[in-house]
Formats: sequence, C-alpha cells, structure tokens
Amino acid sequence: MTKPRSLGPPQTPVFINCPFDSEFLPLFDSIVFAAVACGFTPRSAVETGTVSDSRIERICNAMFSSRYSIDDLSRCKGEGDSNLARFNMPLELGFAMSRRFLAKAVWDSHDWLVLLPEGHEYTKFISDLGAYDAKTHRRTAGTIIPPVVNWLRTRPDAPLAPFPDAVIKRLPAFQKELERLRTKSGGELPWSDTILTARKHAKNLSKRIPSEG
Amino acid sequence: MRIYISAGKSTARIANSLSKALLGKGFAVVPRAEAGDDVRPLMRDADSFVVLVGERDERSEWREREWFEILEQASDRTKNLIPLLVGKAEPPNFLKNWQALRMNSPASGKHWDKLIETIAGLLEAKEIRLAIPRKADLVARERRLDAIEANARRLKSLGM
Repeated sequence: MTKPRSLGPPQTPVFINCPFDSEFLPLFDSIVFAAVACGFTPRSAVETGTVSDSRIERICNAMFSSRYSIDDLSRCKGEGDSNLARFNMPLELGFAMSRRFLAKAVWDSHDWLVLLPEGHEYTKFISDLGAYDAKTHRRTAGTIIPPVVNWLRTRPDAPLAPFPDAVIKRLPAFQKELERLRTKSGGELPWSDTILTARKHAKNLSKRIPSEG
Repeated sequence: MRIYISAGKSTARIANSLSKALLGKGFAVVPRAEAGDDVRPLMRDADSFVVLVGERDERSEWREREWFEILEQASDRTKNLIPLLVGKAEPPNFLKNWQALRMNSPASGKHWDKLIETIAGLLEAKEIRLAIPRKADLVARERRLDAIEANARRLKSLGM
C-alpha cells in the first residue's frame, strides 16, 4: 500500500465513510459541509477520483491519515431482486476501529461517529455496535447535520463552531453552488472544489456564531 | 423542572452541593450518569443542563460522550445550558456559545448562596443566554478554515 497522504495537521481531517450514490448525495454533501463548518477537513475515498489506486487503498490512505471518521451504515439492508445488502460501510468502520485500537499514542488515536437511518435494526446483526451510541437520522439534512456538528464540536481539537441550525440554514446555498459546478464540469466535481465551495459558505457562518440560526 | 448536572472528577463535590441546593429550591435533579451508563435517556429526561468545568478537569472518552449528548439536547436552544466555570477554568470551545457563570469561592457561604440564586433564576426564567464570541476565538476559527482552504488548494494543484 502507498504511504497515507497527509492533509494538514493530523487532528483536523475527518474521514467520511458513506454510500456514494445519487440518493445519498445530498446527505453526503451535508456531512461534508457540516465538517468544514466545524473546522475539520473532510476526506473521502472519492478525493483521488479514478487514479490507479484501488478503492480499498484510497480508503485506507484517507482514513489512516485522519483522526476521526463518520460512518453511515444506511445501505446495510437487502436491496434489489436478490435482496442483497452492501457491506462496504461496516467493513470500513472495522478499519476505523482497528485504527483506534492499534494506536500507540493518544495523538495517533482515532474516533468515530456511527450514523444510521431511523428504524435500522443494526443491533440485530452488528450487536457489538450497541455500545457505541449510534445516532439515527431520517434521511434528511435537517436530521443528519445536528449529530455531525454536535459530535465534531465536542472533539478536543474543535474550534468555535456554529449551532447546527445555522449550518442547516446555510446548506441550500452550498448545495446550489455545488449543483451548478457539477453541471459545469459534466457531473463529477474534483474533491478540492467541493471543499473550497464548502469553505466559502462556511466563512459566512462565522458571522452567525453563536446567534440564532 | 429536571436538571442534569455534568461534572468531572475535580468538580464532583461541587456538583453534589449544587444538586442539594437545587433540590432545596424545588428543582428535580436527574441522577448523574456513571461511566458506562447509557446517558441518552437521562439527557432526554432533563429540561436543563448545568455543565461544570474545573481547572484540573481531564477529558475522557466518557465525558466527551456525555457532552455530545448534552449538545444533542441543548443546541437547538429548546433546553437551557449553563456552563459553570470553577476558579480559573476556561470553557472548552463547544461551551463558548453560551454565557458562563464563574464560581470563585467555596460551595458554601454568602457567595455560594448568591450563585445558587442566580442559577435558579436563570433556570426558572428558562433564559438561554448566548455568548458574544471573543475575537481570539473567531480568529482561531478563521485560521482553521484557512488551513482547510490551503489543503484544498494543494489537492487542486495535484489534480484532485
């Protein structure tokens, strides 16, 4: 495996381990925006596009140079004619856990937030996760942003951050600009542009701390 | 009204005194969670939170979980949160959105009684006091956002 590619101080990157499909995209964008709004650099398996690294290498590169990860297990249920579930997300959550338990020092540690859609019966098939206070959402930005913001804000290296409702309020402007940029670039947008757009809109949020959303 | 008091090892005694004082004022106090408890039902039961911050408080995984659950309940400002700083303690950044009270004397006597009156008054009035951010904290935040931007520009230069 190639050496993990570092992105700034080790404490600030947060690896986002979520489904990559059109249905989940608005929620993925919401998590990216919430991370930047809280002063964390989002990292993802999609950041290197389609370069020669395998997907698993890209994931490990991003995760192993991140202090935190946010893992959404939305797609772990039977789908399609064969009723098969996708298990990439739990597999990658397992990587995140091993990253933590193999850490030899606090500065090298890893912490994660598990997100689940409401009604998900995860404790029936990953009962060990029951001890980790997974947070549920209703597949909306308004319900996925608060746990992400509140969790990141309570990390030791978090800067001053806005309330979740201020992030939710600013989100449509960010998403509108992303949509415009994606259309302009033919669908896919370089990861750097996604972060730069989030940063631009997060700047406006600084003026709203800590006032009402 | 049910109050949850969050405290670390160094502030546990003050939390007990505060709990007794608030019970004496007619408030109900939600029992403090112990490490390993499921804190969520306790947080849901509480109408307001008092978060003690001590000078010698150490972070722990457990305390971070407790804080996270408090923010889950209080960050939409439907429930009150009062940070109570003990001595020269500085609040962690996530508590800086709320105006804090400071306790400079022991948990007894005239100053203590006055502090209890103030806390009880804020809880009863359901007055959520948000803080005006310090310039230094806003500057630190902007620096973090600038670092994110610099990282993104570096990625962009690599064609990512």
